[in-house]
Amino acid sequence: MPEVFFTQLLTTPLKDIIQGLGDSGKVKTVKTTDTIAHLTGLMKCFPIRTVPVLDAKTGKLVGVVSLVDVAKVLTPQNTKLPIEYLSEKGFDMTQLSNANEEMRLKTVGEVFDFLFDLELPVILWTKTLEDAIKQLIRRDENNRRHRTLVILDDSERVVGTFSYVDALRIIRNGTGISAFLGGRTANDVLTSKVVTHTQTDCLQDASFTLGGLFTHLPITTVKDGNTVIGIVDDVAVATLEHQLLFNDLCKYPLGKMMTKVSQKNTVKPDCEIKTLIGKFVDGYERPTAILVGEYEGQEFTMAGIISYVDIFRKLLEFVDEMNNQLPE
Amino acid sequence: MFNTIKALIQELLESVESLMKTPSGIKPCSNETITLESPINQQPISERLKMLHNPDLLTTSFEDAKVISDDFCTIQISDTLAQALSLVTLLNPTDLIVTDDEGKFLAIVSSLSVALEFTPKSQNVPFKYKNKSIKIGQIGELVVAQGKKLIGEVFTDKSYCCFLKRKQVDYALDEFCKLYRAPDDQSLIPILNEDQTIGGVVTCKGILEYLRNDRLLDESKVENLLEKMSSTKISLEQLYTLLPKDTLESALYAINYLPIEHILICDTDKNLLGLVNREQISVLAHPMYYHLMNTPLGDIMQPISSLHLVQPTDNLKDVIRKFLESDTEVSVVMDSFDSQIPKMVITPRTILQFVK
Repeated sequence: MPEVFFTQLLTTPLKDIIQGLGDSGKVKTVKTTDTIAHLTGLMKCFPIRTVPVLDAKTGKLVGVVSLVDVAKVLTPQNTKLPIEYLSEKGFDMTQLSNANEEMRLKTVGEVFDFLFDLELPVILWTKTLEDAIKQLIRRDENNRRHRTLVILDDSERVVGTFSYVDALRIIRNGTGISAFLGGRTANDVLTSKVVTHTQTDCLQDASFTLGGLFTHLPITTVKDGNTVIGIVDDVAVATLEHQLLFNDLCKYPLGKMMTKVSQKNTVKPDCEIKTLIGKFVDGYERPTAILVGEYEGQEFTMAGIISYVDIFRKLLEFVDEMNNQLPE
Repeated sequence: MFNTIKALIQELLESVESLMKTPSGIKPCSNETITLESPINQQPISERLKMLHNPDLLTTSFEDAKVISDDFCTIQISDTLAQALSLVTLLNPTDLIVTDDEGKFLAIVSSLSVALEFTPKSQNVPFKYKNKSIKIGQIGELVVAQGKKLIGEVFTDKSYCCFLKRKQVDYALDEFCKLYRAPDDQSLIPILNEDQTIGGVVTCKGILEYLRNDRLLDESKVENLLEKMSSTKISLEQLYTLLPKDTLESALYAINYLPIEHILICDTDKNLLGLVNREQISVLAHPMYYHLMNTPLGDIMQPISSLHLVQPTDNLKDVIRKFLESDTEVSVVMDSFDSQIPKMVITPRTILQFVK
């Protein structure tokens, strides 16, 4: 197969890029009549972060449920529950059993009907890779930015999904953009103005700050400091923000719920884009934002933060520049 | 004379007060007081010790109590998942202790979490649900690729409980008796040498063995344990039941979202038919075996005939003997002598909670 330059790939329809679109069983969906136990089992087993919901009668796409949506509705999984903290607060855990047991046999249609009125994160398979990347960047009419798009064929049948991870993998293997992958660095992509919280700030502070605008909060040792010890993301906040728990957890310190800084979620400013993308797509936990900075001993001094959206934006700018430089 | 008595009373009151107020960090050990890192949520020591007839058992150090076992597996952070799997398969430990290249303690990984990185063992898949379309070669590639990953790549950083040899037994009891247990909580506690290398481990069964001859455990009946558990809500490992026609999917949901380790399978009249545990359920939740999610629990449960059933009037020491002298990890307490209705699930941890 002849090598395709990335600039050409950008203008190629998704159906010609993604193998096996529409193959039976390849795309995991749930029906509105499926139970919550079925939905969570599917997400746990594969593991997937976004599931298209089909109308049980018509088979048409009616909504898309993400991990954040599930986290908002269910109480935290056992492994995410701050059991000791809640015990200290005197929280009666049997409430969780009752709430979750009640939820087990409810249907996806009943529990997630509020999602069905929102704009669907869909893209036709005839749309190009560039269209898909632009759609992953933009916020919809409800100010939601989708990490995964559902791909529809000409008859609006769900044939696949396309996530930011898929896009990053294609970019990493792109031909003809070595000046971007190897020539640009994390320093060229990062956002340096970052809203942070300290480790003693609490869940309700993070909830207020995230408020739909941000998805990640670096956690510092002192207010407005640059020494970062961890990061809290929207999924972690949504997981603990359950109505049953909020009274007891609203003061839960961010220092206890953060993911600690480590080689898995940090890069140096001179890190090449190709290596940076690896941090997003190769790891076990696949972080959705990477911190940029330098370690001095155990201390990490932050220069900025990078989300996959920053990489997409810079890439499109780079391709534009490249196209403008080409002789007619 | 009066002043001396007054001074003595004052001293006594102060010492009692200090015991009542002191955060868990301070504990008596023989005649000295040592400041230690502390388990949270402790009751005052006087309250805590009155359950046992011989409270000194809890204030004895791990070393003197001889509860430190050398029966454990270690693996280095730079070892592969395949090496971890070999240990898990051959030796069947509950946990593996992860050390750095100098043998210093770093982390604990459970055998279950190692197993979950791979496809289920074929013997765990009920024959009639084995998917004939899956080729061995197909699975083989996946297993080999997964096996090459390093332990350090796969497991996340978290804090682990470990103690030095001179700490008291009470500390381990606190850790094992936490009111609510998370699935990734340790089933053993590393005991470290001064240089942070592993000196041994303390297990739940080890502590139970050590305490088994106290009169409290020797003379109590199962019903005494039931009484305490129901009055203090000390454990949630009580009763969660599903029907035999309920599927693996429901069990997986329950195990992930409810603070339980065991699910009892009962008929519609609440009669006990069998039991499934976290391990049985979790290992089958693999993409390659997703079709198993619809398997009725009646097909994979441990049948009632294989379970250890006890009556409220049974002696607790007999249940302890069963735990310590066989592979039994769980007993089901029935409602009464002639009843098939289960009342509670008991594990070695439940008995330690009773002591506490």
